[in-house]
Amino acid sequence: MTEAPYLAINGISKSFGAMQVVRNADIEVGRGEFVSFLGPSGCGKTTILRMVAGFETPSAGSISIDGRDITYLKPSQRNIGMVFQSYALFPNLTVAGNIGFGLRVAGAGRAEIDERVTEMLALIGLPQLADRFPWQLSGGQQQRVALARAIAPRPSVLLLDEPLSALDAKIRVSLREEIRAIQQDLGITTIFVTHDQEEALSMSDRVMVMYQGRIEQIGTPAEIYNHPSTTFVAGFVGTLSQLDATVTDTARGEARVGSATISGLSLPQSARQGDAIRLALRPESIRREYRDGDQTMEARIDAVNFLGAVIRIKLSIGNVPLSLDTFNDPTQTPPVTGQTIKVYFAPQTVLALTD
Amino acid sequence: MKRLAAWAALAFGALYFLLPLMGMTEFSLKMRRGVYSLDAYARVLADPKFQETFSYSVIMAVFTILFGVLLVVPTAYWVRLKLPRARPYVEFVTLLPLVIPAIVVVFGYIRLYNTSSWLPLTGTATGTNILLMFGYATLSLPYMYRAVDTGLRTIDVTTLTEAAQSLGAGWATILGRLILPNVLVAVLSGAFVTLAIVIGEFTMAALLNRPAFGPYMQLLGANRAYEPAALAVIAFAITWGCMGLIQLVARLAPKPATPVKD
Amino acid sequence: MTSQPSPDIKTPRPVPLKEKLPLHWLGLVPFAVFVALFLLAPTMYIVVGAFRTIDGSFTFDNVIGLNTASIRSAYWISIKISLASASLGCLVGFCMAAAMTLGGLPKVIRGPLLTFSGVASNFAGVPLAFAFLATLGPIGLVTVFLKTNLGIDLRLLGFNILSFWGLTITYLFFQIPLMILIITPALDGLKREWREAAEILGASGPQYWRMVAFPILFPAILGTMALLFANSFGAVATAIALTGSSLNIVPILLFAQIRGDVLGDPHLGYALAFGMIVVTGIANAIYIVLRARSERWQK
Repeated sequence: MTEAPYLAINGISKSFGAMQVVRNADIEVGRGEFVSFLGPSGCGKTTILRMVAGFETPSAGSISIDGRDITYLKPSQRNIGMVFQSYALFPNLTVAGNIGFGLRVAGAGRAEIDERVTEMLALIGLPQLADRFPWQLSGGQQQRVALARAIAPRPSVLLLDEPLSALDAKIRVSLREEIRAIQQDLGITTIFVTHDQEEALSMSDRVMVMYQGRIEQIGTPAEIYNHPSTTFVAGFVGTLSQLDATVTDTARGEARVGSATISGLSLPQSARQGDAIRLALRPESIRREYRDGDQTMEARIDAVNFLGAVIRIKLSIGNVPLSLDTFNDPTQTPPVTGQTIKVYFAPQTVLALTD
Repeated sequence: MKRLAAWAALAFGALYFLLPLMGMTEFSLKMRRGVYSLDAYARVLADPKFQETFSYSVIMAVFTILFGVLLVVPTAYWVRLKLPRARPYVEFVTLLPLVIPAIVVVFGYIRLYNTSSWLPLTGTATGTNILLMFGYATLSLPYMYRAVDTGLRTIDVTTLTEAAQSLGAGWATILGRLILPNVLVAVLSGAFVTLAIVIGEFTMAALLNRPAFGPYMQLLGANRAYEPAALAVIAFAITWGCMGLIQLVARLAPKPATPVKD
Repeated sequence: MTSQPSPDIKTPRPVPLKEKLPLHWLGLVPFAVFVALFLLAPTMYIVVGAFRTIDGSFTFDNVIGLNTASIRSAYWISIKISLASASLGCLVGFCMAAAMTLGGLPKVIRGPLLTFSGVASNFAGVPLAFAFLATLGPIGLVTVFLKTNLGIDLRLLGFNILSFWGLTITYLFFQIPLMILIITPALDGLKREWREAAEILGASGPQYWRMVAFPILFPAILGTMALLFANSFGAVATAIALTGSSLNIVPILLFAQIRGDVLGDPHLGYALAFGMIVVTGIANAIYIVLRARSERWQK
């Protein structure tokens, strides 16, 4: 029997005038869990976050934390911490002043505030910046201070609204790891909104993918990636090569792609013989080395993209474009455009997409 | 609660601003005893001195505007294009007229350009008119420069100029055919502010003894009862008209070309 | 042995771009000449004149000569009026601007209010004086209304339009709009996220204002108040039109001095003007410094 959810979002909907931005969203987050809301701009993920924070009121549904219904509470009464995309540090206060703000507002004593601020500064690794002002800090430093400010009052839930979007790529990656480490260390229930699927996959315990106000799928990063339940999720998370196919044998999981037949596919229940379905393959599922049980195909190399650690080969099978990812091996000669090579894939790794 | 306080603040402000306007309008209509009439206006408009000083001020305004445009547009353009480092200093200078009171400036004019100086402008009526025009131009410089500079900011001056030059255009063509039409709206906005300033200006005209509208209004105020109120209404209507025209003209301003977000 | 170039042959040297710079500055010449002749030179002439005697030697006497009872009083009254109209203009203008930007009022209010502020801030001088005379003067609209309908006699209460408070209230007509125009961008610059961050950290509305918003706005408010002060200090026309040269303030004193040397010493006029420049100069410097500080925070 699973523990009662710490943060429960039940049947939440939100409309602005005639436009429905969130449709009937349900998710339960366990204590100490890190959940990402992932989706493109305008999918409603930030709106749900703001409803949890209290800046928007749901048109329908309820939100509760630790059993307590907070749907209509003012943001200042919810004991939630939030990190904004634009950092939103108070420019008139020093770093120490910003971090201690929540405690000062709550009426804590000078000594308690100082102690907690020192603790937080150590946590984010910036003790030397206590007396600086926000405009004197870099973007990455500001965001860490913002994180410390949000955590200092010991909130029950931590919300992060695309906190890394405004930062440089390198800083994004290192800060991402730091945030996750701190979160796990302190065990705070966390919701992380992002449109960057790499962030979501690498940081989260579970990911909630959203599109046009609806939840498409909720699952662990591996589940979302390897077993996407909708076409949108499959396409949004990771790269995908898509093939149009026709079902030829539902018992044996066979489908015809162009002139080739693939068997051993896991077709959806509803597939009937003669149906047109879309198959999809991840680039790393297509290999140049054979393993038992693999399907073989001949493909022509259209382009070779050197991405650093990975070499992405653009192939065509017939005139269907596919991508193949392989690790860069400096001891091997890279493949040449125009070559025809044999490629292999396991039929179980082929995704059959439903819309 | 917040909304109530906001409405209250605005209502209080509205009262403060509307009452004097109502007061002066009401007063201006009370010339004929016991009845509201436009007698005060009729008297004023028929006064030859009114016509004389009003047209004087309007003509001065036109000259001031022309001079201002000829001075400010090329200067602002040149600074933006070739001398970006000088911009803060030029801007500072254009704000000086707001710091140095007009009375001090005109005092300086009287001392510096009187009949026994190297540039005896105050010796003749025309010379004094010219001096007064320069004074007006100085007073309106902050507004004119700011308006033109803002207008230039919305068009990418450097790129436009380089494109025009690569197509073989000379400076006159660039300024006249390319820059001016695009900042025309901003120039008009500055022109209307200048008009409002010149028509109402008192200090410089009075101390230089020129027959301008401002001193005329003050003289009338010292001697008559109802006509000054009528004059005040006229002056306010002109100022309001100018500002309204600025707003109208600002709506027609070219917006900067922004790429469509996809 | 090195060959020397013949002095008769001049080979054209390619001119590096940097050497062309001096020509660029020529473009500023017309502007520079105008400003020098009609803004800077007159001002400097006054400033220098304040420290010269009639025969041209340097002296502090003129400035010291300002230290008479009537001149001191003129400066003091000018400063008091400017302080009063600046502080009140600041307060009322801030409230109105805050009501417009943060008060949750319909957005359509903003445009007309800003336009009106633009008009009103330019409606100074003689017509303004007439308007207030017609409203709060002895037979003014409001005066009569209060007396006949509410039995309040302003004259008995000691109010006189031709006085310190009369001038101050009149000056507010252009001070308040100026405040609104200048402080509105600063209020717009208050990021929504600051308010939200403060709220989620537990702050109530008043706490947010006390701990975050006002401190952020303070330089802008103070700076604008300095600007309002300078604006009021230099105002001549309204004062003359309203009080008819009877109120002893510095601009009126200077006006009379320029017209007819009422003080009996031309160089004293220079000193008076110099004093005005000093006061408005300091006030404007304060404004510029504070504005730069507040803009740094809005990054």
